[in-house]
Amino acid sequence: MLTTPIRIRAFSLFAIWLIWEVNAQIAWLVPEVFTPTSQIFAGLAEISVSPVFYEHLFFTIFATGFGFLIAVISGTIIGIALGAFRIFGRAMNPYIAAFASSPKIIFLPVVMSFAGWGTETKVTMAVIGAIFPILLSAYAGMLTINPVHIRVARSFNIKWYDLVRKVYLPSLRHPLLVGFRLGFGAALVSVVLTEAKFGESGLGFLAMQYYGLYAIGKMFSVLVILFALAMIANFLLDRFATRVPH
Amino acid sequence: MTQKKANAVLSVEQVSKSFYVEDEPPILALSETDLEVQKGEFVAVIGPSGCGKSTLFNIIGGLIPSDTGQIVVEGKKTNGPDKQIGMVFQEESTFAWRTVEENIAFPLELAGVPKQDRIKQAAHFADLVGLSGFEKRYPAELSCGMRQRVALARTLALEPQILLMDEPFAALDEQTRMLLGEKITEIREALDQTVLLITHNITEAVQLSDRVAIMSFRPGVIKRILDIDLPRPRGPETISSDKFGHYVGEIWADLREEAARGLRESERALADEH
Amino acid sequence: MSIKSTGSPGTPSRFLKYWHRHNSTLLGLGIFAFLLAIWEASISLGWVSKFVLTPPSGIIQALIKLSKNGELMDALATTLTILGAALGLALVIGISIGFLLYKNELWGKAFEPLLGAIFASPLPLMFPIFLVLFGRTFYAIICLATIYGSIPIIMNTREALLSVRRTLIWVGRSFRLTEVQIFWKIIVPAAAPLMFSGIRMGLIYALLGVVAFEFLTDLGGLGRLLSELNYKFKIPESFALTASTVMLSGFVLFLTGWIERRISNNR
Repeated sequence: MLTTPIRIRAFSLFAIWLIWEVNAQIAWLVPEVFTPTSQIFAGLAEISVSPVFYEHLFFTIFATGFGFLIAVISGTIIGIALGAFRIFGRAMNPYIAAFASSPKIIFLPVVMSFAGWGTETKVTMAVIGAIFPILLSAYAGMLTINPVHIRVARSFNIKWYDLVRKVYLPSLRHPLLVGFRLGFGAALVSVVLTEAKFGESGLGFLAMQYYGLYAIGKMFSVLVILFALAMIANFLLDRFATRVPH
Repeated sequence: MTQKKANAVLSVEQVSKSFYVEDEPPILALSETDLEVQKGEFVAVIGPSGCGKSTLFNIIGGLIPSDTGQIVVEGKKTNGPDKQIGMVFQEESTFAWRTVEENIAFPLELAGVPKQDRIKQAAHFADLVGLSGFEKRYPAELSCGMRQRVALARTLALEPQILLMDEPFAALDEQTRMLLGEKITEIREALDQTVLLITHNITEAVQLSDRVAIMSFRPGVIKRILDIDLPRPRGPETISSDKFGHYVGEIWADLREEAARGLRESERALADEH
Repeated sequence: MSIKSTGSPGTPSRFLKYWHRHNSTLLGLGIFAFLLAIWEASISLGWVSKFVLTPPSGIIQALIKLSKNGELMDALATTLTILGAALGLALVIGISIGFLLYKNELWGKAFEPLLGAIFASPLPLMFPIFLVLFGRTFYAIICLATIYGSIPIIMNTREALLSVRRTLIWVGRSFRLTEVQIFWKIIVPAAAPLMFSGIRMGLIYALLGVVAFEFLTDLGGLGRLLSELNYKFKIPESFALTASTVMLSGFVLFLTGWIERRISNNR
């Protein structure tokens, strides 16, 4: 029966769902949290027809996407620069690592003090979330480029922008893709947590509103949508990466 | 071959082994292989890559079971790794987290030898392989050849009667290999050991052995056994002698055909993949 | 052509030697100091209002104030206590599950991508669930941080144990060790560096989870204090707290990095 990884995965997911469902039906363990899946679906159906939901969805996607885009451009440039000028890379590495490994949400008060309460704050938070994984991936990727390739390119008197375009970027495809994926996830987390804390709009705000009303089924639905959003973005980035020619 | 000599310390009797890969016909790596090693003898098994040399090594060492046949050590059929056999592996096998001394003392530690004695023993064997002064170093601080000597000393620490080595010098450069070969010969004489060396290097086989067993490419069987009648120690004069060259030529003549067949088959396998 | 040596090229000056050994560290410190100086200057020269951006000197003053009245130390102690509990649980859960997934190859293969997917998913967004489950208590924080921290530990433990080379295990067999001896004397020490880097990641993620949760729910230590100061519009103090949290992350990173190098410096 359980002889292949795929079967085991399917079985495990099914088992978790079954336990969840049975628990919900007999209302045994914290029934207010583990609501029946039917209720989550009902919640999904209900919010998917409300125009207010789409407004919130738009705010979240806009802030995440815009911030992510800024982070993609600046993170890639900074990462490549740090990798191309090794001494700066090595010099700045400890500082970048310290920032990268701290919870980004704590920069919210700082950001708010000059970006205010609006969309600018959310976008800035998205940039702060996404830029570190992107620039660190680009930097790490630069360190793995075969130095012989660079020397060969240099021996052809290649211009610096061609060096970036023809040598760096093609070899950075994979690490950059990983960085973009992590970065998008981080941007989404940053934005939604910002919304949950201070926002007046967005899915994070909506989830907290349902939490405040103790509409747990609907809160779950919002979380499910957020996870779906992250997965779709992941999938799209993957597709995009396989399309881009060398 | 069936006639057993009284003082054979190790014998390989009718050993076969096949490997099974899904959706492909089984590969017969060894086919009813026989080999006898006398006490105090240095025997080399030589063959082209992919001929099942390493399989034979693993079976003699008791690391993998054979399909048929048996390994007999001092008249007793073995079952798994035997106490009398010490193995030296081709790949890097030192423990990176232990110093040279701790590496060498590893089997002693597990045998329950008290710490003071262990250190003394380790120092002795480190000296024997020419590593005194390096006892407190870690393997990463040593060269490949030195690490291989650490592994050798670790195996010697239990003083096995039979030393079983699988291309222990394969990763080394030619000159280091020659020097280490001399070292092995010295150690063998000092410890009065029997050695079975698996190798693909013809010069090495002739330089070190009393007898050379030539293996054929798949299925692996011992095709021929050649006595090397050269005086010991075998210094540069011996190696440059006509006789030495003659032995090398003779082995290559036998091996050439097998090696060519091996090369053809591996290239065909590569072609099939595409 | 005559060669005239001025000084002695064979023995560079002490300064040069020092520079060559530590050039990147010194350069990093230099750049950092330079950025701080620009930051400071932009406020004292009036380019930016000090009500918007607190200068480094103001942050240091606020930091002194917060440490003097004991708030910072209390908050730090609370955060570290919660973090300790979460790390302890994550270690137990992570190492045992990682070990089981190593022992059972099939289940290991089955769960590896699932764990990767969970790890890559925006897990902190789940925080309301933990609030509903445990209420506004430290247990909610510990639970989220434990889950967040144990995933890299599980994955690295399995990976580390699997990555031990076959030859090393065969050395053990050839010395006729039992499977248990091989596990403790060979597999575990060989896997230790990679396992530790998983623990390091787990610790960093757990810290992330703890502080973020504290900040979002006004509960616990550093995160709660930051949120509180922010509500009271104590801008220099919030800046100071953000700075100390970054320093804490940096310190944890540095310390665990040092231990990691100690474990694997002989490799």
